[in-house]
Amino acid sequence: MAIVELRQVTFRYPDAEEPALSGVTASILEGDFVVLAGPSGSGKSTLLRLLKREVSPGGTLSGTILLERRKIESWPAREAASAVGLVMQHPENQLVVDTVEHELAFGMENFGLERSAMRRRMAEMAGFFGLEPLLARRSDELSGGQKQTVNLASVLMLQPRLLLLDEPLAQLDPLAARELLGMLKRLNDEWGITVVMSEHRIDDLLPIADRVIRLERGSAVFDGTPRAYAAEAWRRQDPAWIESLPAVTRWALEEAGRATSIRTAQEKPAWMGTLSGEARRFMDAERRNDGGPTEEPEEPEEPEEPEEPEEPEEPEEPEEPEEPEEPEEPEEPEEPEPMPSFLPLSVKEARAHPAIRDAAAHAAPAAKPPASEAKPLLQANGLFFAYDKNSPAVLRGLEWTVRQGDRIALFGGNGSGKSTLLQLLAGLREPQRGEVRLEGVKLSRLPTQARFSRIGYLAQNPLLHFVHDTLREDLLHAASRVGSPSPADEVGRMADRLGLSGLLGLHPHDLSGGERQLGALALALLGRPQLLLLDEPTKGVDALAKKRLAGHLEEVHRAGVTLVMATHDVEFASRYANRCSLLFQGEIVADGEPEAFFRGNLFYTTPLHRLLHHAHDPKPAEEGAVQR
Amino acid sequence: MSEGFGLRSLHPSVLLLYYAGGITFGMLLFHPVLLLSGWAACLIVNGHLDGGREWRSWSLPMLGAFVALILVNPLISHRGRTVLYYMGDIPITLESVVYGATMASSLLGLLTLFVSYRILMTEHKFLFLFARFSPKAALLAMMAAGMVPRLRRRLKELMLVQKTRGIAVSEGTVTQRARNGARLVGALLSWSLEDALQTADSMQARGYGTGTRSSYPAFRFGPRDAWTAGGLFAAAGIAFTLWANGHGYLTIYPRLESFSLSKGDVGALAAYLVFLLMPLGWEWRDRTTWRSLNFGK
Amino acid sequence: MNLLRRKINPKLLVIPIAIIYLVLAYVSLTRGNALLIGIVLVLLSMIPFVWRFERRQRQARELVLIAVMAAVATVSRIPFAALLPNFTPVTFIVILSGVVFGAEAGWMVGAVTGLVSNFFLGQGPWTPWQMFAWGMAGFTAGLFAHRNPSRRRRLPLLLFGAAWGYLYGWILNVTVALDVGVREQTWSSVLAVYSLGLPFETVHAAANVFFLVVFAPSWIKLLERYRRKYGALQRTDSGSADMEGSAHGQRTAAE
Repeated sequence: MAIVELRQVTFRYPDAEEPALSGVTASILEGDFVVLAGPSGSGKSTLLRLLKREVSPGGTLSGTILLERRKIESWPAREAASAVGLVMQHPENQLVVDTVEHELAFGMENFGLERSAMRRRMAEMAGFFGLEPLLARRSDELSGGQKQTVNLASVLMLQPRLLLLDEPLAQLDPLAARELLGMLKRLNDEWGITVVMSEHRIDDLLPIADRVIRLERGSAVFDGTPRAYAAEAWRRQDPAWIESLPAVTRWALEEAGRATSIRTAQEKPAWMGTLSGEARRFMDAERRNDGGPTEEPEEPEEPEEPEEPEEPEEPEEPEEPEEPEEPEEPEEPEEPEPMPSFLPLSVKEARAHPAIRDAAAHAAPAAKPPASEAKPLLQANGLFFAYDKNSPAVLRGLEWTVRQGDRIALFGGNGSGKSTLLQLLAGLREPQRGEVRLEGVKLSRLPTQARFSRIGYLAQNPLLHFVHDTLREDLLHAASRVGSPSPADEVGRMADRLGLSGLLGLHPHDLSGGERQLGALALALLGRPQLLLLDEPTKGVDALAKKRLAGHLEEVHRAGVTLVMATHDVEFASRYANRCSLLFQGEIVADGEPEAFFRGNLFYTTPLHRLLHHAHDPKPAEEGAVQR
Repeated sequence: MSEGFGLRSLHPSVLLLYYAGGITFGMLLFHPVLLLSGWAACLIVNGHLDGGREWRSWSLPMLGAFVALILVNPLISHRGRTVLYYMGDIPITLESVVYGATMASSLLGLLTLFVSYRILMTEHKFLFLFARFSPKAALLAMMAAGMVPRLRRRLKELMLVQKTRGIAVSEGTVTQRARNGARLVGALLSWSLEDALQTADSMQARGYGTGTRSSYPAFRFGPRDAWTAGGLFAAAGIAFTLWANGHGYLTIYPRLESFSLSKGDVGALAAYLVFLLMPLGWEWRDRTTWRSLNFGK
Repeated sequence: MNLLRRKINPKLLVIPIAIIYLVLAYVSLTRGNALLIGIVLVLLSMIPFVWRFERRQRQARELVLIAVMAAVATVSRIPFAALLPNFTPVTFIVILSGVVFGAEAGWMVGAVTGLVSNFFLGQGPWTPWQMFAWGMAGFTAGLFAHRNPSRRRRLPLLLFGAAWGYLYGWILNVTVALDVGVREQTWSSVLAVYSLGLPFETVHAAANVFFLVVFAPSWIKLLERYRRKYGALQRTDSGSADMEGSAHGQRTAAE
């Protein structure tokens, strides 16, 4: 039974020219786990908010939204509020009252529940989420992941049948995001709650979702299974689509593409012989497809037909009896599928496949040139730092050198002190022991202004950098502070360089996450820094904005600025860093060039390296090579 | 030493009764001997709660206020028959010195009482009581209390990061610093207002405004509370009756009467002390149980 | 006991308790002790405001807005801790809340600031006085300039802020002043008490004037922007509860 039905839903914000949603038709089945994909501004949030009447935006709506076969606007207020739950992006902003226990009870209080009923639900939910030890705590003391868990639990207290999540993972670190995702999966599996979740990084979601709906400029351009989504993305060859796939899938697809080109060069590559029948068949399909247009008209999934059942593929699953080595082979697209027929969505699936495994063995990633032994720019000698006398030390005798021209990615667990370290290196905080030297001069000896303009610092939350009413005013202030002769021109040039020209008149709060990040970068660059310290520059930023940011950082680096970024984003680091360091228990425990670093790790590494980890013979010598 | 033990186990309404009574008598009974005894009783209560740690941390400002009141009163008030000496042409009278001292003892007792109030009447308990009188205002207070730590953290981050841009309260002239400080607060304000729109959405998404609310926090009013409340009422009744009959306060003006306590004064003092110390009985009882269960540990 | 408790609406207890305390304070006053009367009157003065606040359904946005203003006012003293004592923008923020959001909201912001800041700094006998003083600062600011744009200009606001710098201190010292006044029966003694606090209050007034002169126009603009943003709740759907809700929202905005 469909829990939600959208019929020709079109929605326009009061002053907007383009509708935010146009003619969206879809139906969501009870118990489905649906992922809403699409770039920023494609209407994902609008769609979710239209399904949650209490927070629906103002504007003109046409079409019908049916919730459990009743028009959504005809539901009584209380029933509507409890039937649909909503969790939003920022964990902190959704917390209403002071303690965890009261936060969980807040929704039930709104429904005027009896105290005994509230206690009972509280007991159940706290048990399910393991929140008992946190109940008496102030919600402000929790980590981001815990806060989001509290938000989720407090929504579930009302026992919704449909759970909407608007980018709930964007502000979390990968570990917390994965934990929350696991909980959502459990809720979906065990309680049968229908989940509709939007996210711009959907790579972790694809393996667990039942369905993907992709919105682009307000229209639903795809509606089908995750595997069909991956196939469609490949067929389209649209970078925006491909970016949204899991790294492993992307890699497998690219590998397949490479195989095609190799095959055209020499009739049969050496490793073809080892291919399984299934992979061979996919190669054959590729061959048939060779030279043909990328857009295949006989494509079985038409995005315009969202009702198209994807399920018929499933019965084909137990085929290929000649493949005893891959019993858990997941469902495949149909044979006439001109796409690569094998689309792994996770490392496990990829590893199970011999063709991929073999290809992995041959496809050693191109090694980047090792970091040069350039002269040291910034040196940390025996840094020791604690926030106060009674709290444990964050940094314990840390030694580290940043060399001219480095592009360092700094890894470390949550609360390992990455942010603190960057703040010490930027001269924002003073270490209790030890010193930081910039080109041999102690930071504390440098005059404040010189220190802060030679070392640019970008905080985790870019909003912290803005205090004026428009971006222009903030930039002008920064430009005149460093004594620019004509601040206005300087600001204009900087805005052009970073593509911010059209945004100068806006309030910083009205910028998107990526734009704020670039704005903060512009502020730092106006000081003409030698060194840029970036704290989690990719947090909460969508793939496209990430790419733009990376491009600008690369350009900045070419202009001679050394970069250090603390990050959880392993993929971003693997693409753009030339040195990786790991902070653990207040010290740098691993430091080296990325390939060796990632190959030696299982956790702080890309899915791709995880896949390759076993394919390559794990030489113990590599671990030594990582040390510096 | 957690909730549910001794004094901390009492129902918030009993605590409210205790503090309302303590404050009222601290103001009604106007006799230095009674007030200082009451102060000593409050100290004993504090000692039982946390070994007097909290009181010590507040002792300096309290002492300051105490001394200031004693010194200032004779300078301002020149009533009284017994002139001790003249400061210039300002007469310093014995009456106003004693009055100042009594007033200061009253203040000292009150402030000490509030130290234990901070320990016993947690935010949680206070808001529970407040919500019974005014649920909406209590919710509002709770929301603001939930925001404060978050905003404080953000403001500190802002102060740290804005140092890099020279917007700091530790740099420049006083005017410049004040300007910078206000700029930081302004940035925090617009940021918080922006974010709070989501908080409001989150409230509505969870059914706020769909009808009458109920209240989750629960404290059980047990026999222990009933006994304590009864005892407090009895002691307060006695002290009050004596006060109404003219006992328990010192006549200072126009001429200071003797400090010696009449029978009625002693009765009022006893009732007042009983009122202040009675809840400690639960503290002693629970400690004894604790000791006997834990082999004297 | 439980049965008894369930039958009594705690709100109804307020009236007899208030009467008892008024009598007590009066008798005490006739005996020359004026300590109680002030605090009793201050607590009583809050009842009408709280009662008015309780009377109608409050929109989520309305609550959130007041809570944010109070929380920001509470933390606003942090950057100024190192500057001059008493030089804080707390009163300034309360006054602007009253100016932009109206007298009722102004009172709420002020009173909640007084209450909540003491959650963190420590409650004391001063709490009701601070709630009253800030509450009245917000309330009178609303009466003074909420509907009257000409009074939102710098000069009237400056005078208003300076006045509240002194009034605030005087309200907090009412107990002592009342006590001395009742004893001495002269105004000069009251003035003497108040003159002792004059330096502090002058700093406070100077802070108010400074912030109002330098920041009032831009902050009023900012708060007006958010008043519209919070008030403009035009829900698309026609669920009856929601329509009612948005009507409330509009009214709040208009107030």
